[in-house]
Amino acid sequence: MTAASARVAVCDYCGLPLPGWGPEPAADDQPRYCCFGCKLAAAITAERGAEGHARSTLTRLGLSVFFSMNVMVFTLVLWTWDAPRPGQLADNPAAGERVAGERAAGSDPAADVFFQLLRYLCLLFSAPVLLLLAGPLLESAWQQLQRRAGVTDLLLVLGVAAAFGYSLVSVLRGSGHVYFEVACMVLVFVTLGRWLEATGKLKTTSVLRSLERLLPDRVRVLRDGEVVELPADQVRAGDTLRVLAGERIAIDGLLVRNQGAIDQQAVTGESTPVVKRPGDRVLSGTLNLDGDLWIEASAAAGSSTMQQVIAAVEQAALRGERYQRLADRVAGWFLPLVLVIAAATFGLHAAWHGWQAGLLASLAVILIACPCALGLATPMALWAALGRACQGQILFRDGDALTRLAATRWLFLDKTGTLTTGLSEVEQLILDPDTPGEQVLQVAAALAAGSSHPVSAAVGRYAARHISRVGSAESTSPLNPSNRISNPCSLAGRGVTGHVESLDQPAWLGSPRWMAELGQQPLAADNHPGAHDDHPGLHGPAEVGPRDDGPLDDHSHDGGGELSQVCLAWGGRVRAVFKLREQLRGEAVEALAGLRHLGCSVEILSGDERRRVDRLARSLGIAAQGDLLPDAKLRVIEHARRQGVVVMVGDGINDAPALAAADVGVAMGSGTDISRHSAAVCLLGNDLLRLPWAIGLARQTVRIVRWNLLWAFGYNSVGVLLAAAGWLNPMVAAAAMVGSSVLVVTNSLRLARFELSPSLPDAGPGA
Amino acid sequence: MLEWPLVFMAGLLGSSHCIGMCGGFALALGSSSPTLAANLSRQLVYTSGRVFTYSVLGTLAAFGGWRMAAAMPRLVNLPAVLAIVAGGFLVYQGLRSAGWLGRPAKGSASGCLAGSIFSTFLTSPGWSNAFLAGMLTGLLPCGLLYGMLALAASTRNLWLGGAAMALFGLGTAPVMVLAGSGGSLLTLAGRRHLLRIAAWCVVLTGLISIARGCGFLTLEAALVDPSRCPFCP
Repeated sequence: MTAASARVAVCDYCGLPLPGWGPEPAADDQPRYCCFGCKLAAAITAERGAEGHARSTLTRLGLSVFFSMNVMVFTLVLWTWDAPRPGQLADNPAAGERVAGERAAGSDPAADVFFQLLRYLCLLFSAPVLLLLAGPLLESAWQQLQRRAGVTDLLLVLGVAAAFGYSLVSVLRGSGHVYFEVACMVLVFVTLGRWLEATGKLKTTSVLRSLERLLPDRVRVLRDGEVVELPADQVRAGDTLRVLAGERIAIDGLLVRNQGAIDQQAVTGESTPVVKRPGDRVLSGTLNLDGDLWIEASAAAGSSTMQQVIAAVEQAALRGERYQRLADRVAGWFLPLVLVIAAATFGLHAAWHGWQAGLLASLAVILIACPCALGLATPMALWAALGRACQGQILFRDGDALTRLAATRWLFLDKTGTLTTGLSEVEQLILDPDTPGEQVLQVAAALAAGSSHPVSAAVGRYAARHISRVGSAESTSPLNPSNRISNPCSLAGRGVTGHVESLDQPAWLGSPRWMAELGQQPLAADNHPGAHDDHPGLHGPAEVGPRDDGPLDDHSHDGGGELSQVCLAWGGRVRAVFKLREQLRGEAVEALAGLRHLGCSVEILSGDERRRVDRLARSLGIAAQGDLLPDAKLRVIEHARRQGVVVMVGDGINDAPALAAADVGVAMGSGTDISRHSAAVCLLGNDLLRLPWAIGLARQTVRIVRWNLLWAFGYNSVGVLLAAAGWLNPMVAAAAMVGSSVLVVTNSLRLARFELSPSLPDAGPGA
Repeated sequence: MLEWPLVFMAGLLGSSHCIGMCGGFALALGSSSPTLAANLSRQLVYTSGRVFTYSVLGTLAAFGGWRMAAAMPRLVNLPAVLAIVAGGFLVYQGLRSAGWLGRPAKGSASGCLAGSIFSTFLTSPGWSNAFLAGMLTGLLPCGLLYGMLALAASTRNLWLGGAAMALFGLGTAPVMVLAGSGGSLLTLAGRRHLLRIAAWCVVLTGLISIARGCGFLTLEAALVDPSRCPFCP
């Protein structure tokens, strides 16, 4: 497994990555949680699974709420009992709370007894809250200390303990303030808030978990001639798996026996099932609809496409993005600052109003500044967006790509494989009259097998189809084994060559220009009577344009609905010309309109002949540059980068340098193999409409992240000032903290519901 | 002071309009009970949890009303304003459920974060969980509840506020227990009929509250104790 596909350590509850932990499981096999809330929530879930747990974590929490509500009511009665005179309240409302719970001596003795009784009731009802909730929080504080992750939890526990301890002494002495309600409410709110956060985190990661759950746990494997059922993680590369109709394929591999229709929607978003035949690649996570498939695993368990996607997203989430790093940096100095402010608040208030006032004010400071919202602001939004993108068949390999994509105004699109279908088909074969067609096809098939380029693939497919046809008539062996190629070599921008054993000489398959360079004599005429023509009616003479660019160069073999040529030559002469056609993608027009609607200017960068590129660009109403060699493309992108964020969209394999040079490289149609290239963004399917969608999602993410951060910063700053001034009751601070976290979580979760198929603006004619 | 029977009636009849929100919880609660008797007692425990929360909220509201009244005794006649606000709320809710102001939105707690808490409590066995589920249900946002709380706040007396809300909660008990026990004793037409009566009952409570508030406003000078005014000698 490569480093890029290595899984990162994730929280055992919410699935968010754990920074600073290794991917290997903990030595003691203990579950690991990212926060107190997740631990709590995991405990609740686990207990719900087990039968007969009368005293579950959840019941503890619920009972604490019950007791706290009682304490609150008793406290309210105490507060109204000997309220200050209205005039005092009007002057200083906070004074009402400070004197609450303390009663002027010398009034009615029966009322005095009732008053004391109420104070004891407060004690009685708040003690269970302390017992039930302080323990877990203390444990969390201890872990926080051990991981050197801060002291906020410890300070919270200390504050609560001090409030409770002081109140206890007051009750026993029969005089003095009581702050039971503060202790209870703070504990309840902190616990509830953390749990809600954990629940929110769980929701943001649900998409990825649902992807992972697609993969079956158990598979049928052929071992020693027998099919045995094994856990999927025991499969090794080379194993033969049997997948029945209706089952999902667990591991990437090659189909070796039988054929069947495969639903690839989960991986590529393609809704029409694809028929796979022996020799075809099948992907993990796809659904076998009707065949009894035998598959040779090409990857070991844990490194299949689906798992690579998940691992890549986890990595991206772990690395975060620039707003998150900003928030982390701020949190880095924010925490010590808060501690200083809390200490100062305690000192000043203690000096002016007694140490209880200092305690309450500093507790409020800690509560309000507990940087929950700050810490959650970006990771939650980022994670939700990454998950949603995955659902839309878009893989972000790094969070920064999301931010940059949101800022982009410049898009460069490659033509072939991006705007047009890269899988061109051979439409016409023109043969040299003196060379047998069978031989041409044999040599072409052998050479084409040496390259994975889409055009070679098209030539290979065409040859394979026609060899069997020709072969059945003229020869008994459809594919002559003597057509092996030694020293195959592919030259970027030119084609493939190799020594063909049956000819005992080298042969070349590539662009007409290359043939000219090699001094191979071209064919006499284009429309030779010996041509095989699959679709005689499909192309008019106007569409047949000569071209001098090769098929195997950097995507210059393209043309929207035009014919491209590939020549096959040996012995000083071009023996055949394959004419290929490729089509503009059906959704290209709508996608370009969507991009324009988002305010992006789009330009085609192609290595193809300028005339053809221009014609396509004119029909699409966008700018274009043709005749660009790979380094010229790089220069264009470098130049554009000086003016803003540049996105390059292209075929992940052939456009790799251009993709790497742009601020964001978007690789098209990489659903079949995401490990072969490293573009920051991969469109797993081939749907161009996902491009404007991804930009929309990225912009929405950045909006939400900014809003979250603004809120978290603003709320914390104002809150700390209020708390430091002593105007904020700790109960209110605790409630505000919960509210703030829930707000941020809910806001982020909006991304998880980002419209998957937005209605794009009407694409005008020619738009 | 308060129209006690009306508060109870508002709960009793008004609750049928809330079944859309809380009825589902009650049903989920009963789904794990094997017998009708077990379910019924579970529903009662659940309802007592709700009544408990309502009382606490009523006490809080009354405290809030008392504090506000104490803070601005003469400038604004707070009880009157609160009574009018409460009445407005109730009239609005009543008209909404009567179908005069468009269909009431179908509330659902399952979509929000709190939903997981509810579902956990609702489906866990044990009396305490049923009680806690009821307690939390009482905290759910509900227009009728806000109206009633404003009414409780206008009492400015913890006991009265708590009692009023407890009474309101008890009023909601019969319909909710019935709904939760799965006993659809009423036909669809009957339920619709009841719903309409309930809506108008809520409107009536609101109108009385408004009238009471307006009465307070005019009686202001006579009712307010001059010794409480910080500006008068």
